Amino acid sequence: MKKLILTFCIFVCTAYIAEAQNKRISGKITDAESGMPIAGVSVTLADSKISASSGFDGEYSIEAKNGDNLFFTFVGYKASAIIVTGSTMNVQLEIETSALEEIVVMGSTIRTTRKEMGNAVTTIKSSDLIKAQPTGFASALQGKIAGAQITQNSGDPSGGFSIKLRGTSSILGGSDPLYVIDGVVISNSSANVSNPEIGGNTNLVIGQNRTADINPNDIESVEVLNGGAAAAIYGSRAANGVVIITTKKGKAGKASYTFSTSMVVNSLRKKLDVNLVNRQFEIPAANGALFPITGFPASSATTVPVSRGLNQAGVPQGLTNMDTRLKDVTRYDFQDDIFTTGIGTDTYFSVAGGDTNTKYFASVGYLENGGIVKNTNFKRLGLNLKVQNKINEKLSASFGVNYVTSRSDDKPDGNVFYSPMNSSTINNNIYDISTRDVNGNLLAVDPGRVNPLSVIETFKFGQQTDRVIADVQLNYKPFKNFNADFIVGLDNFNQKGFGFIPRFPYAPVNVATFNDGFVSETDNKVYQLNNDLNLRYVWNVTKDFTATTYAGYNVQYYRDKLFSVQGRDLKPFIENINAANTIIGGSASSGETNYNLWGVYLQETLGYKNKLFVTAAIRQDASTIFAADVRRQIYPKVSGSYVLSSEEFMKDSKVSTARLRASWGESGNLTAIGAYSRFTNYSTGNLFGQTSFTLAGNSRGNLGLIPERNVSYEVGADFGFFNDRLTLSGTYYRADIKDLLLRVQAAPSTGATSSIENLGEMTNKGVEFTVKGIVVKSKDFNVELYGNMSRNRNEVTKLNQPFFLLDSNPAGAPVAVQLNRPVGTYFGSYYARNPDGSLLLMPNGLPQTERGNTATGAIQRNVNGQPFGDVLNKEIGDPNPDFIYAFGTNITYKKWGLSVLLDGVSGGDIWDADYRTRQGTGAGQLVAQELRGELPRGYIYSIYNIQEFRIVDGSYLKLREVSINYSFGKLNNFFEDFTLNLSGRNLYSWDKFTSYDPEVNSGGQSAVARYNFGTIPIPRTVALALKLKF
Amino acid sequence: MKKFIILSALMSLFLTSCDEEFLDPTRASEEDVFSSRDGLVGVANGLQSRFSVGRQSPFGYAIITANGFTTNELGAPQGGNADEVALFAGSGEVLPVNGVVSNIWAQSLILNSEAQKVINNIDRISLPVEKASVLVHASIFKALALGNLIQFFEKVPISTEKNAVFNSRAEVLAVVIKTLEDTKTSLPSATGFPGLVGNLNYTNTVNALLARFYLMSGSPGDLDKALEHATLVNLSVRSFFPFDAVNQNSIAATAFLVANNYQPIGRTLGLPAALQPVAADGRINFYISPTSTPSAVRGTGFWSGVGTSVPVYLPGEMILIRAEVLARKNQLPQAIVEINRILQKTAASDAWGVAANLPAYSGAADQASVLTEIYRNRCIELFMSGLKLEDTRRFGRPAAGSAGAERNRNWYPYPDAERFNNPNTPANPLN
Repeated sequence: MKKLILTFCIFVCTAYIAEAQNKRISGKITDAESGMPIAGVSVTLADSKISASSGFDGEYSIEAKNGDNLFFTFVGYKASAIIVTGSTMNVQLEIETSALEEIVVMGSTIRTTRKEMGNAVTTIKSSDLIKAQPTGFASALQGKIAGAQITQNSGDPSGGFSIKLRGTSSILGGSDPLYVIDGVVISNSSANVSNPEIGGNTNLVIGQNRTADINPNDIESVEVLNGGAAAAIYGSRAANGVVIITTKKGKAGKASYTFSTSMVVNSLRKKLDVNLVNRQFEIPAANGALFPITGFPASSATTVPVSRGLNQAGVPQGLTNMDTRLKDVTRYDFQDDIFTTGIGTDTYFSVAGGDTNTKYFASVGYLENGGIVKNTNFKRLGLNLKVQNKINEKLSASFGVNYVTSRSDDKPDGNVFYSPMNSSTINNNIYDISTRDVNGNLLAVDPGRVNPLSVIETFKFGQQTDRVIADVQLNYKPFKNFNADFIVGLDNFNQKGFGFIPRFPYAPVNVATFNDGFVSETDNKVYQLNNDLNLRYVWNVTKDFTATTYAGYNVQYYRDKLFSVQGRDLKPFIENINAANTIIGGSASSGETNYNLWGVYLQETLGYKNKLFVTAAIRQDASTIFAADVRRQIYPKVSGSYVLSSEEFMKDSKVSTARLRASWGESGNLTAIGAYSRFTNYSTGNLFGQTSFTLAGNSRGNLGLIPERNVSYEVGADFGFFNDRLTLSGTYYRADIKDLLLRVQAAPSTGATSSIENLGEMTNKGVEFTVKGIVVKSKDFNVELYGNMSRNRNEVTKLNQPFFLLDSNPAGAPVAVQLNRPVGTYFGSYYARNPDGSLLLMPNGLPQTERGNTATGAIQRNVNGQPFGDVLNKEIGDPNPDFIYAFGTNITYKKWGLSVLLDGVSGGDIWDADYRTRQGTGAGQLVAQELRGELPRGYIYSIYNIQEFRIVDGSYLKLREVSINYSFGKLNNFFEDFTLNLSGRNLYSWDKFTSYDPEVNSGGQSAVARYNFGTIPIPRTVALALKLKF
Repeated sequence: MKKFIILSALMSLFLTSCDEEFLDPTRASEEDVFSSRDGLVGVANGLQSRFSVGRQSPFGYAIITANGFTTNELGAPQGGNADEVALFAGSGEVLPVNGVVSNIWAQSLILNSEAQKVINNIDRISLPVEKASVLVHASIFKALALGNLIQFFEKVPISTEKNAVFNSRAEVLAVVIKTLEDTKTSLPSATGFPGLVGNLNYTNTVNALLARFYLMSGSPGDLDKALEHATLVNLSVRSFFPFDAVNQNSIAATAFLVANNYQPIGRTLGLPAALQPVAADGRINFYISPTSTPSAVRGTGFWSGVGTSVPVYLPGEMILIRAEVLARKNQLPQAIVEINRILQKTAASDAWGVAANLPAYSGAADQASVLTEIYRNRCIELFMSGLKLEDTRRFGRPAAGSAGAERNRNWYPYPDAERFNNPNTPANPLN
């Protein structure tokens, strides 16, 4: 590190040289079509580091000489070049509809034109991001990227998101893409600090993820590179794709201010129909519980409606003791006690300004997002400062600091029976939960269970995060056609998580739900530093040939320290760990992760007549996570792009743009396993005051592990018709993941239950399409329609055994990895069916589980045609969607604008644990039907343990965004612009889901799980915003 | 350009500094723990933790629960606990993926492996008292691990290796017995020491376990050995697994004290009418809370609280082993004397307070009747000890699938984790 600082200082101090004499050129940049000024256009002087950008009025000024070349570039517009002939140079920019000439970010600081790239890139501009008042970064992207499955995993006010580009690419390593903000590789950690008592499962990644710290208002543009072959610049860190975020920058000229504020109203989108039939079956009369989940210990004599298999081996026993007598009860809908309308505000203020040498941008944003579960909210305050300084003609520097502090006040978000949703699901709804005793205390509900209002009123869970993302960048252009970028990026954050459950004022409450109270405190300190050097040299070999050479290195350091302690049996008055009389066994623990990643690359792009581009690259990546002798791996890459429409024969055709592209490349997953997973380790424990060592995770280490290798290719084409009023883009890709790392089951006779091995292979293949059309185009009225669709097929192509179940999860979903099937299928028991597919019922008319020979999987029927033998398991569902799609429209009429975006997932099964539990306790609709006699008595019991019962279709189509805005334009000399915006998010969902929301995932940001176990649904959000520029 | 060359040169130094080796600062490595005295003592304590603490532990939960459902000791589990429900239903419901059965299998085999590693590296400990204590401690867990497994599975691999071969019941019991016999020279020094968790009385535990496993082994010579070792056990000494608020008694914490798992089947202790305890039998109230009602049974006994200790063996087991050996050798009057020691035992005279407090045996004095009475008393006295499945087989009680069956499985299926990864896994038993 010291060396780095030293180098940096030397670099800055010695690079000053004399400046040339220039005159000031100024002018106005406008949209060629509308004549409207364009703000933020980058103006650069050729072969120099002089640059400027336009203000809100489109005015720019820059120092240059007559005869100099000025370049004007702006995301979404065609780049333009002019030769300086006078002191006022007005410029018109044309909207880049074909996108081929569009400038895209290829790597941290490296920009190129889209036509040079051999792979698909999606660019989203600021205006498209924040149209419908997203409160977080990931929600702003939903539906806008072909090939990206963006899921809000929880409707908690700071609920986690996952972005999966082109399917699941690693089972152990997750499928999270690399996030880069202005060259800083940022952490998207989902460290669970607020509910440390839940966890220990590899396919459970719950809680906030750290893109929650990004304020969408600060973003200028987002580019998404879907494929692992995309960027040699990032190498293996980008095996799952890259999300490159470019933030707003300062610009030369008078300071301009933006102020926006919005009021955000969150509400429950859909209420469940609960059973309000005021009846229940008598037994067990003593306590009034209902179906299999009884609130009281069962006795075989009375309440167990199934016989023990003592005498009739292998023959299903049928049901006995099913009481059909009904008694009157009063049923309640607990939803009114849990949900509320969450109000929030999002306020943002920024200033941008500077002169030709120094430009600055500063912003402050404050978000308060109220949850739809009572007493939950998320607050985030962010300060952002960017300064760019031209040190001399050859050297410029930029500095950025983004400080974010946030606090969430939550409730346990599912996965435990003391969360708001689960506590209402697991209780029979025959209690008026708001009843209190003379002291004002809430009363007991089902024996052992938690009153949902206790959770709402007295539980305190949440976290505070303080984060700094800072960067220093140097750009050096010592001579023509060469530039070097040197970047140091730092992402440093501290999280403090807390949890508090007071002692319950009623009994009995289960020990596992902390009858005597619970506290937890967790600290997580994460430090991530990246240092990149990118060199670029353009050699114009002949008039027709150009050769661009890129070379450089990347280094990334990662360190974290996590400390967590949990206690129970609480003293009064105190709500932190000081209250605990008992520290929960093994809970006071430290975790540390340390690893380094580094790589070097060389890339050559050859261009011929600006229509044919071929790129080849080679890269070496290394990671300390793997053993010294295998940690360095070489990854090659080749890509090509051919612009057909530049050919003579295409000149007069209706096809205005045609390009073919292809790329092939290899990359590795450098962080697929934990920093020390290759070792055999022993966990420490305390057994009655003595040291204990136990084989950690019952797992044996494996020093020979190598990084997974992702070999992928893609071919695609981009077309534009009728002067690019209609554009089409399509990509086919295939990625083969070799040496797939799996935590494989070990025969326990080896002395361990698992080890990590490079045993698998997996393939993702799929297609992505984007279409965009300008249907109506006139001065006052414009209508644009667009859509995207993608499908991905994942298949495990090599495995050491037919299937294995991934680590268990709290919902009990049997998530499997099967050979020749996609990752994450559900593998469990299923309904016995007749050959025609109808249910094979028991003689008493109830459904039953399929049986047969587990060794062969063959079903067996006895003489009466009834199933017999062992309970059979098979694949009962697949969580992977068939395809994902989005479509929408942007309409403008004079000063009005309307945008609508719909976003959908077709196919993909969800393990809906809540649906089943509701039927088990009483609130479910099947209960109502059984009580009314519409279903036979015993129906719920008979299907309760058939796992297929919990598999439901997770397809949905959501009305994701609707926004209407009215722009008053320039009001007076003071206000440059004044815009009012009314928007809605997640307004409606077309789905057949059996619980609230098929989008949420109680497995959180897990790469494979998709289940519903008490997670808060995504709210319907309506926001009214006003935005001022002055 | 020169500056960039300098820069690049500096950077290349910087790059080489990335290539570091990181070890987990929060855990001990395998090399550390098995090469030092402190490590071996810690692993020895870890064996006890693995065996007795937590819902995945064999003796803390899995064995007693599985055995209890299979032999009708435990009542209907709450419907959400699929593995327990399957064990309760028995037969074809107990699948190779059953979590409770898998825990018995996996945890016991890991115990066998880890205990053997301690035994193999015992010479790293120099102090004789410490060396002897750790050796005996580890040997007890190895013996318990294998000895328990062979009560639930027809065959068990003794050696820890890839594609381990499965050994017969006789071979496994021979290893169990040899492991315990091999500790005898160390027993005089094995008095425990600060640092090693106490509560196991090594000499009495080794003798008690030898009595138990010689009885299971069952040859005439073994029966004599069983009698000999049962007699050696000092019945007033308690040898037990302790629990506290941190290392909880799992059956108490996840079943008896809560309403969402299981409870004992009732005051009949799940025995057929002819074998049920008489109402005055003091042992009923020891194991079943007197406040239980037929529809709301509450278990108590050794699982009454999260800090309640569970004995490794009961004095009653030793007396009943003596009774059984004598009965099998047709020394019936002597056997009846032992039975009466059980029946007439008072709480004050039992180290754990397990006491029938009944009149002397008055039934038929033929061998079959005496053996039945011994079985009946084992079922009551040793309720939820995890030994009943073995007992139902040894006493020839009606097997799973036959009329009046007293167990709903004869053996458990081998977990898929073993079958999928070890080609030597035998076929699953039919029932």
